[in-house]
Amino acid sequence: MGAPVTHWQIVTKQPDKLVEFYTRLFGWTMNDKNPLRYRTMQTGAGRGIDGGIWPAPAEANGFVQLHVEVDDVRARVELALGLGAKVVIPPQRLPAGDEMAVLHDPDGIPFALHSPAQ
Amino acid sequence: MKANVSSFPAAGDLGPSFREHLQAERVRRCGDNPQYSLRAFALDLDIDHATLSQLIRGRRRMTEATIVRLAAKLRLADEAAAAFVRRERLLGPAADEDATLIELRKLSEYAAAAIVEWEHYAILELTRVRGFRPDVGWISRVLGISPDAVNVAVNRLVYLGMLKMVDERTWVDTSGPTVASVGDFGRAAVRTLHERVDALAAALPESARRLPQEHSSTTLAISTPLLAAAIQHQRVPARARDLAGE
Repeated sequence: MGAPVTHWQIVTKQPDKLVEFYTRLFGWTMNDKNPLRYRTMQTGAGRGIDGGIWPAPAEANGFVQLHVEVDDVRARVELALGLGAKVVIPPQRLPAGDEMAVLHDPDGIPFALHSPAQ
Repeated sequence: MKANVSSFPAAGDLGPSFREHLQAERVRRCGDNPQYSLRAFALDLDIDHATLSQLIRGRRRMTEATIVRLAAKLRLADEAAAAFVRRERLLGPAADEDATLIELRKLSEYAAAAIVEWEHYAILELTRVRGFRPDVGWISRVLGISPDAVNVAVNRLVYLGMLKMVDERTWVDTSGPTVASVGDFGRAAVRTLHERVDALAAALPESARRLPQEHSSTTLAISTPLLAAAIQHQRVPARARDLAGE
């Protein structure tokens, strides 16, 4: 079975502005009550996937990043490297217990591997 | 599709890249109309203007599909588009060079920001404090900065390999030997940058690695009227290489 895309992330230098934009445009709700103060975005649609908005540094452009859920982040990172990916953020254990890594695919497009807390 | 003869790379000569062609085309259109903006160019090409900006500035890779699509919008002959695609294929490592250069730029920018902006050092210091909490809200309150500023700094530190989130309760300063002062931190950031740059440079093909290392110092006497032509036709660097025996 293939690995599912379980989350999208908008990385932007204007997170508050985009929270307001998307909540007003689509009726989404934002919740940042978590240890990273990550602005999770719930669509409330009952289908599709939820996402989040993350602050970009001043030197970066905005972009959208897909998060793919895998069983073993480190093993999948090794596989991705062999397929031509590059690691941007090596596997990290986030405060909520889940594990995440960020890579660039062979075309330089960032994507994240994610494994939920056990 | 109409042919645009001036866009054909000459036979046996790779000629300009498609990126350079786009740049030249934009300049030409601005010459015809000084009000011609990047947005207007992007509209004509049916592409997002931010993407076009990145392509023209070399911050985004020029894929074959992009060349074909934009060449059609520019009404280039199929042969011209194919030649640009062929050039990109031949210089395949150059595409990797672009990605490597982008990564180098990002590394440099992140390292510079980490050195200049005090919160990076402060966060690393905080990880060594008893009672440290891997909670962005707590860090934000302790340092008196916004949660976004904390996250941006943490992201840079992790990207640079100076901070690692080991588990739910533990963040580790991985910046190297004990950093006891802001000066030590700056040196650690530069050291990290050097290590990463060396690793990236090693990954470049031999031909690309030679180019940044070509440097020489030569004094030549050139008649003033001939100076502009000498520079334009690359005679100065060619002469320098002759003298260097290359």
